[in-house]
Amino acid sequence: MGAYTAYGLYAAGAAGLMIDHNRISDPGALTGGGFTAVSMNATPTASSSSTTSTRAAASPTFISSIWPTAPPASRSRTTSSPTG
Amino acid sequence: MSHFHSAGTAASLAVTFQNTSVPTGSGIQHGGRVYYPVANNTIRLSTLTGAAGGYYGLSLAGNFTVPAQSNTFAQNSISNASIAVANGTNITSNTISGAGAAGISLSQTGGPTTVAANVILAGFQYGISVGAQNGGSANTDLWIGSNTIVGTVSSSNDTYGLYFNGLTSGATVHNNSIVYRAQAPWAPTRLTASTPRAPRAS
Repeated sequence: MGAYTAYGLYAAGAAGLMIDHNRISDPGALTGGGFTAVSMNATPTASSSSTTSTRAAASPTFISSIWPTAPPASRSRTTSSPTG
Repeated sequence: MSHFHSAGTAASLAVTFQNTSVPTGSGIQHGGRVYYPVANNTIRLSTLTGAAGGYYGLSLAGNFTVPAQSNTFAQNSISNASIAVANGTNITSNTISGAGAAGISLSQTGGPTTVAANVILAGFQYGISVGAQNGGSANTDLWIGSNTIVGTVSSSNDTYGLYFNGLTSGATVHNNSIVYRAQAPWAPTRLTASTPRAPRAS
C-alpha cells in the first residue's frame, strides 16, 4: 500500500467522544505502508477506565479498553497519537 | 441511476420497503435542499444494489432545513453502494459492500442516531464517516456500536475504519471491531482415493 496509512479510528477536531471496548485488529493483512490503530488530532483527549462517563458538547474524549492487536514488528505501528 | 425522489411540500414523507429488491442506483435519495421532514421511513430486509462505485444504496444527506429523523434502515443487503444520511436515523444490522468514499456517511443534524450491528466490508476509503454537525441541535446523540468494519487496504489513499472530522457534539463509540483481513486463497481440494481404505475386518 505504498506510503499510505490504514487508520482504525481517526478523529480530527472532535470532542466528546466516548470510546470504549472497541477492537482494532491487524493480523498481518497490511504488508506495507503504515498502520495506526487510533489517531486523535486536535481532539481533547482524556483516557479513562470508567465506562460510566457522561459526555457533553466540547467535553474531552474518553478512551478506554481499546484492543489493538500487534502487527509484525517489521512494520511501523502507532497505537495512539493524541495531539490535541 | 434510478432513485426515489420527492420534492413536494408534503408535511412528511413515509416510505416503507420490506423484502424488496431495488436493483440499481439509489433506494431513496434526497439530495440538495428539502423543505419537509424526512422522517418515518423504513427500509428493511431489502436488497439495494448499485451499479458501480459512487452510488448510494441510500442517500438522505443534504442541506436539510428540517431534521431527518426516525428513519429505520435495518437488515438490508447493500452491495456496490453505500449509505449517506443525515443524523436522526437508525441504521442497524445492514451488510454493506462496495467501493467509494464511505460505507456509512453521517452528516448534518437531526436527532438521536444509532449505527449498530452493521457489517461494512472492505472497499470504502472510510468505513463510517462522521462529519461536523451543522444544525446545532441539542439532540445530536450519536451511538456507534457493535459494528464490524473490514478495513480497506489501498495503494492510493489513506483509509479509515471509523472517521470523525469536526464532530464536536459528542458520540459514543462502543464495542466495534475494525479488522484488516486478507482474503484467503481459494484452493478447492477434492477428496481422492489416494489413501486406500483399510480392509474391512471379516
